[in-house]
Amino acid sequence: MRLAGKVAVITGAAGDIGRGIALKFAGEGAHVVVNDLSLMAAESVSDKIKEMGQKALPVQADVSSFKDMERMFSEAVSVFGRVDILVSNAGIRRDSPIHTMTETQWDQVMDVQLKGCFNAVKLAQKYMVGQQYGRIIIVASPVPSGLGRSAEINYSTANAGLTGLTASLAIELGKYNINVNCIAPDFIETQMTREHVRTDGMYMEDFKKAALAHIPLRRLGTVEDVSGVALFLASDESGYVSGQVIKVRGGP
Amino acid sequence: MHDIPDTEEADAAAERYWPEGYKEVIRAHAGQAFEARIHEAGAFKAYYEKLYADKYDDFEQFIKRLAEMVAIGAENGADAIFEEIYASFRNHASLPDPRVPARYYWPEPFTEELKGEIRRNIFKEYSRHHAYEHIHEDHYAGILDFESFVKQVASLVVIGAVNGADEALGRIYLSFLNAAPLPPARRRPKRIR
Repeated sequence: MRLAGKVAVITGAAGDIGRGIALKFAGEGAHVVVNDLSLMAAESVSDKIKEMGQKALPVQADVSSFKDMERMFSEAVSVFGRVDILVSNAGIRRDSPIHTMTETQWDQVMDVQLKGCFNAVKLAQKYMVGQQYGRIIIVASPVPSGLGRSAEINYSTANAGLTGLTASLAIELGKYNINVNCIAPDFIETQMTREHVRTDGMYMEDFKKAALAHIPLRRLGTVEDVSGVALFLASDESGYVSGQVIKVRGGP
Repeated sequence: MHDIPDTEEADAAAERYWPEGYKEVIRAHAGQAFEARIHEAGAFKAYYEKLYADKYDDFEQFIKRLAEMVAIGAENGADAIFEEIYASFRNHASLPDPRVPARYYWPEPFTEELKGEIRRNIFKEYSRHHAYEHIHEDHYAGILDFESFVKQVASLVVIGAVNGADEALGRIYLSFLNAAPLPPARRRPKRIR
């Protein structure tokens, strides 16, 4: 058990990647605070964790609302007494070319991806500093940060921002024995990818065939590929790794 | 038009400062303790000879300057946490969380005795202060008794001082690593009430 007794807070934990990480952590002995915008979805993941013999706390909260997140962390600490691991995973896409992108589309992505991450880390670090221990994992959503694509300036910008946030935060919190790392997955078969492909007017199977041309390992990534890296970053095995962006994309 | 009296000089003369006697303790002892530990360990001689021998007459003077910089860092760290404490007063919020690093740079210039001495000084100065009595009455009376309140402030200030010294030491080490001149170290102006 690599996370025995540790308490993990995972935002957006009912999505494919969040759920995969939550179950992976529970399988390694962690108790999990399962956050999602939908309580029903969060409860479904929590029930699964409880079946595995671990404790879980489903919390409906909007990551972009500081008040909501404050409530979630306060509930988490009142139930589990501490927060050892934060996985800031919540993310959305509102793709559109610049000439049709609305202010709302821009703001929504910034609010969830960037402000949501800020809210989560600001609240988590408070407990982690007190404990002199913490692991913060930021999931930069399925675009390797810094590599832009057309029709997603909001998404690319937010994800590039998250890598900057990771580096600065790692420097700031290192002395409190808090490691901060970022996972940037790409070409992972998730609901979000499927929706994105559909929005682009493509069939998933065609997308898969075409995508392989960009992937040296010649396969799409799985949730398991991402959750394995998250487990490494949450465990003590990565104790001397901080401020890194690990691309999970089957190639460089 | 009414005549407006020029009160600038009177206003300036009325400036009152927060008590800072505890800084004398930091100045007197933190630097000394730092110097003693450097000499005991025989540290930094090579850095002095390689990078700073032309700027300081001898090794002794160089270490004294480092000690002074660390003490200034501690004083500034105390000021910085006082600012956080006042912000919590202004915002009717709880006192700031103590932020204690898991690891400090070598050598920590504060012994437990010295920390205790600084805490006692702050307690002595601030527990007599009517402003603190009012702040306590207004914001914290239902949560902490007055003595615990001032003690908590004193503990936070000591943590701020230790962290400030640590940051100064970090900047000094970066100068060593980058073969750069020692960083500037200046005291902040006195805190006006």
